Amino acid sequence: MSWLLTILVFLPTVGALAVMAAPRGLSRWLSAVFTGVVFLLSTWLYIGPMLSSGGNAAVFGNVSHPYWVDQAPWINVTIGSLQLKIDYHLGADGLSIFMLVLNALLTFLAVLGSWNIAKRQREYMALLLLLETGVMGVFCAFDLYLFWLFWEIELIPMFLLIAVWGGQRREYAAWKFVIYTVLGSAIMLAGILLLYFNLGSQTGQYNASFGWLATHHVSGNLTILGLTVSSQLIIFLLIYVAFAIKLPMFPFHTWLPDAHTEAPTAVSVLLAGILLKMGAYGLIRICVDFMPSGAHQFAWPLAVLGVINMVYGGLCSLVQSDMKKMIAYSSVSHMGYVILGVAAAVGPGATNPAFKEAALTGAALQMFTHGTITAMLFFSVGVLYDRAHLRDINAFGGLQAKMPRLTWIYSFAVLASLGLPGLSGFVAEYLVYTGSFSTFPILVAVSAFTVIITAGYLLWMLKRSFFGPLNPKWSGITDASILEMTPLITLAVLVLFVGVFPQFLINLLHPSLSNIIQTISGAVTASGR
Amino acid sequence: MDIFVRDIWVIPLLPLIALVLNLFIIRPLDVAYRDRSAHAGAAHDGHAEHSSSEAHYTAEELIESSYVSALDTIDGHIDTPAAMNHALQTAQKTSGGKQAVALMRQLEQHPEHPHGKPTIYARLAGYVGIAGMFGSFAWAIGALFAMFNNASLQKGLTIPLYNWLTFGSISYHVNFYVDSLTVVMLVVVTAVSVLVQFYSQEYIESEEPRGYSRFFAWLSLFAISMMILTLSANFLMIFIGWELVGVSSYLLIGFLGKDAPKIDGGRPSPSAAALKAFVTNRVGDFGFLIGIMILFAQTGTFTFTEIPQKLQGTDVTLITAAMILVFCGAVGKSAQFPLHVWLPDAMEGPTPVSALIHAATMVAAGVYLVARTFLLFHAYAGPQASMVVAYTGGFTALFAALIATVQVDLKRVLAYSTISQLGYMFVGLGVAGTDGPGMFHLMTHAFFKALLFLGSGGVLHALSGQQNMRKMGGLATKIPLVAFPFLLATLSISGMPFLSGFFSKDEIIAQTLANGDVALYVITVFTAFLTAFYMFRAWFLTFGGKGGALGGLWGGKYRGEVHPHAPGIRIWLPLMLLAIPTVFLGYWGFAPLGGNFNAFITGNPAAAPFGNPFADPMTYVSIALAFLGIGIAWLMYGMEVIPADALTRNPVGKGLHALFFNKFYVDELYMALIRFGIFLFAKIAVSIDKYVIDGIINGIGSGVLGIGRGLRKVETGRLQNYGAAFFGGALIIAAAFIAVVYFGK
Amino acid sequence: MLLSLNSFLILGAVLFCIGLFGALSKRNAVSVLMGIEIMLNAVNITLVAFASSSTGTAHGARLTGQIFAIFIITVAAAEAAVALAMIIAIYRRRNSVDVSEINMMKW
Repeated sequence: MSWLLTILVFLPTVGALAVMAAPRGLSRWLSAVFTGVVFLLSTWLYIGPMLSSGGNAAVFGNVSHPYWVDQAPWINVTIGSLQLKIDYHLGADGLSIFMLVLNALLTFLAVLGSWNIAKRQREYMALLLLLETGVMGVFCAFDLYLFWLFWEIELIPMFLLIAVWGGQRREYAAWKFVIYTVLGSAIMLAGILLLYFNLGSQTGQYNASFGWLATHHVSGNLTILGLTVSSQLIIFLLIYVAFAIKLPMFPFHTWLPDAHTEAPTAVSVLLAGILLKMGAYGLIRICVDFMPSGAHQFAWPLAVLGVINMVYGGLCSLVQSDMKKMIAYSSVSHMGYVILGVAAAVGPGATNPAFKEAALTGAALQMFTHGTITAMLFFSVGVLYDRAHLRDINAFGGLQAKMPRLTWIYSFAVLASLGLPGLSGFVAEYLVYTGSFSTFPILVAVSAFTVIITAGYLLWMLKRSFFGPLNPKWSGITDASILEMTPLITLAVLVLFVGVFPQFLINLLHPSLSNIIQTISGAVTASGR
Repeated sequence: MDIFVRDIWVIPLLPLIALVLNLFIIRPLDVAYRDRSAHAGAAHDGHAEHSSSEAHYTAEELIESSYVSALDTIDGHIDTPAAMNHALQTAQKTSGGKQAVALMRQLEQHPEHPHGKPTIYARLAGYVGIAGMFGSFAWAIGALFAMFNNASLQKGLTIPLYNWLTFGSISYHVNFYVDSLTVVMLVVVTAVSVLVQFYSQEYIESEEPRGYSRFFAWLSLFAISMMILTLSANFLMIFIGWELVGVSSYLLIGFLGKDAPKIDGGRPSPSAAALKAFVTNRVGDFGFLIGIMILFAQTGTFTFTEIPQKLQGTDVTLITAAMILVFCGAVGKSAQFPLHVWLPDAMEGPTPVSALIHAATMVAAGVYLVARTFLLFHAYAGPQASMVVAYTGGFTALFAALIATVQVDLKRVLAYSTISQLGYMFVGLGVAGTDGPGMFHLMTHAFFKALLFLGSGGVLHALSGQQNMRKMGGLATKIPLVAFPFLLATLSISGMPFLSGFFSKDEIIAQTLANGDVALYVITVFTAFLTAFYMFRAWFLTFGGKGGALGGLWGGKYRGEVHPHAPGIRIWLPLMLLAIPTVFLGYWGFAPLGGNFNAFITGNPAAAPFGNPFADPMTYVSIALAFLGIGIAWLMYGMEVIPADALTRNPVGKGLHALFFNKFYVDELYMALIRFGIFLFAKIAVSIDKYVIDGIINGIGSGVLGIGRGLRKVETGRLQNYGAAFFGGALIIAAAFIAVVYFGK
Repeated sequence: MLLSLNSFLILGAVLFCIGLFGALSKRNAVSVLMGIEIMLNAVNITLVAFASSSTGTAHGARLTGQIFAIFIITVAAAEAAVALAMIIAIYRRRNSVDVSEINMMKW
């Protein structure tokens, strides 16, 4: 019991209250302080165990034995034979720590990135902080109901942030986002209840803690509308719908371009950098780990959908003229790698589990990679938008002459996004490709086509807006300021470091992921497939 | 001595240090210093109000504004950057570009031409880069001699750096591997790099002084990338290097990215060329990646030395397919048909870049890749893999040579010649039993082609950027220090006996016959004839011409307008140094004098040396054809005895000329494919999003709203209606109840 | 002649239907109110009839219906007062007591 996780989750809420209570002029400073402190504390999640174990990453543990735990009994009701037990159970193993730190960092940078926001700054900052609480909770909840609760909490601030501070079609985008997501959460709740009571009646013990769920899997079949389906598959699908919407997976992705395009810069950053990762995190942590044989049965469709995501998202990006929309579609494309990697990890064939772990590690790394790189892209576009109030790629041209600093960092982000070796995107893509190939050779070969499309649309955009002769309309445009460059440079350093030395992240993830791989292979051999 | 091989990591480390110093210390200083001096300069020139009113301008704009002040002296109306752009644009529109060109030329030749000079820090960046490169070069030479001394080192040595991850039986190592092949490639890369960097000092100073330090940073980045590629021990590392050289190439081609598309000759803009290069390479990488994945899935390792033994018992067809896919990567990087289209466009980059990246080193990476995996191609894959390599190379050699015969842009002739020569190397790798002949040609070609490009850079430098050979002629007497080494390289590439190009090319041609492949022999020999012809055509058009000495060989009538100015020592010295290997390097493979390149490169002292070309009667055929090609070029362009349009007067000749001149319309075909293929798919995808998925979503939304809108009509607001509905409902329920109770039984 | 329970129930039902018809079909608000009063009294008759015909033996069993009737009379009086006040208020505002024109209570 360390309270660190509790502090991490609720310190931002305290911050939000403080921001609302303090005078308006202080709000951005206060939120910077609070998010900064949360970020520093979150790094201790990594540093602390590393120091105490002398650098042995195995200490981070896995879903059953996470290094960090905060647990207290909360709700325990018995109605007849029904037992409802919901614990306040926070935990963090490697996979969680990875996302918690990323979230803390990106929220801090988002606060810096919205430093000069003019409209209702105090409320904006408070909502950013509340959002941080919700997301932190999602990444370290170790009780399924608590997870769902935080999953819902995060929605409200995001909805308001888009609907109040967004662009022209902000209300449409915000409603679309919220309806999609709420629909998903409703179905997920059905799945959670089904899992909880089914497993409870099968094992005689009602428990929604992750450690329990990861070691006790539902068995048997369920009959729904006259169809008999394995209960794992049906629960997997019910819960996965919410994650698929969040990821977003084709065909549930259309909220993303709208939300990304309409949201203010920093919110786009958080949306792409963190909120999409909640779907990926849930897929790996909950869907795969708790319903391994359900996931296994769904592996083929999952892989196909992942490849559709990659290629389809890339193709859509190719013809966008709005920069943010292009990046949003590129997110769809990039998140396809996560789906493909997970599908390969749970997929058929490949007697060698090492390939599966490579694929799953790639998928997890892609979460980090996409979070940081897309954040860079959105920050850069935000800098441009603040000056020009335009996002139309063709409206620019030759900005290199006027904005050398932004051109630098934007080119860096673009190159990272298209998977340049030495930057983190490459590591994730390469692991996913090489790990998945033995499971889905043809599909992966098709998906490799994305490497061409990605290079095409990103560099084409760069060429049309930053290179070539200067469009005289922009001869007065100014370069990015130091404040605007700060988040960009921070992320660039991170992207470069992880690109060259990815093994520290891989080591952090390894205990969690190898545990999941063992669960999968156990389930697959048990089902005899 | 062995330390040079064991600590080979020093070679990429030195340019890395140079890069870091440049990017994080020197370049910021350069920018800051430029900023200050530009401010001072602006104030001095009486532009104080200009700079104060637009104080937010950075250094680059201030220089630009002084650029504008030069324009002022030409045209009093133009006084802001916007106005300048406007004037240029209207000029481009109204007079088909002629006026705009004139305006630009006028600007460039104006005595107050404001390009300025690189700052002291920029020069420092250059020195640091060159010093780092020279250190690497010295180390590479050290490693080469260490290998001569200790033949056991030629077999190969793995230098582990670190691990990404290891799961059970598979691992992702970041390792270096060094053997004789590596060292030869490293010597080529470092030698050409150091000379090109030395050369670039003067070239970039006149071309783009503001980007001086940036240029050297990118050159260092390229050098590091190329070294990683060369030193890679596995497919993971080689792919990393592969992509990194691609991006260095992208950055360097687009280095002059501010330029508008060139108005003359339909040349693309540098940024468009850079984009094309990168994306075309990615098409090749697509295959390369799949090839790597097949091999990895089969063996669980990326390491070159481990793959063969783990492939025992694998289906040969699968290995063949994998190797052909790996070769796709080589096709992209080495600009072989059908992915050759990027290389000619890449000539929009600065000429030193063309020499280093797009002639000597990076484009040879494909050849190096095949040589590195030679065992897999020849011993593990089926014969089809080598066939594909050889015939792709042969076809490309001929194809590019045909195009080169009619081009008028000096750099493009050289670009197509590069593509053609790379084709030779692939022929060598495809037909020969060792990677010796291919690598030998790679090595000699690197030097003479770098020399040719740097020479053409000297010409461009002398003529202020003129690339059209029709505007040249007789330059040999005007810039002899450039012309002399250029002539040596031209002779070398044309296959003149006793020069290095002769030895390496002839060995490949001999190998085709030794392999019994008559078709390839005919192709390569005919291409040798074409090579001699187009290279001497270029020579006569540029440096010679009617009226020159020795029947037009040296000097002649100059057709351009710009006054050629002589290059400095930083330009001609590298040319002279490159002339040395251009002439002598071939003797490494000349058995009668004891040269046995084959034994060194294969690490097998027992390997047979290349055959003595003078003992083989067929050699004299190729020598004769080379002389024939030179002779025809001499008659047509040197003495001008045969008119240049002698062959194109008839319709067939005319049609062929148009076909060659337009590069067989491959570019147009690809554009059509992209426009009507990829973009069509993309538009379909977007429409699906917009109309199908969002259609369903919005349809559900508006459906719900519509139903609500319809239903609310029931709410009249009249209580009596509600009452009627209430009691009517009660009545129905009662009726139903009675019906159930009385008739249900 | 002793009237049977059925006779009272039929009377109540008929009166209720008359009142309902009046409440639903009249356009004058006062007439509607009168219709409602008739419905209430129809219910009263029914309740009292049930009460008097009850054969229950429990304490107060035969009074329940009558007590309900008294309650209804009370509530009806209050209701009439409130409703008339509303009608007057509406009349002051709109110069009309036509219920078909009073349709503010929609969406």
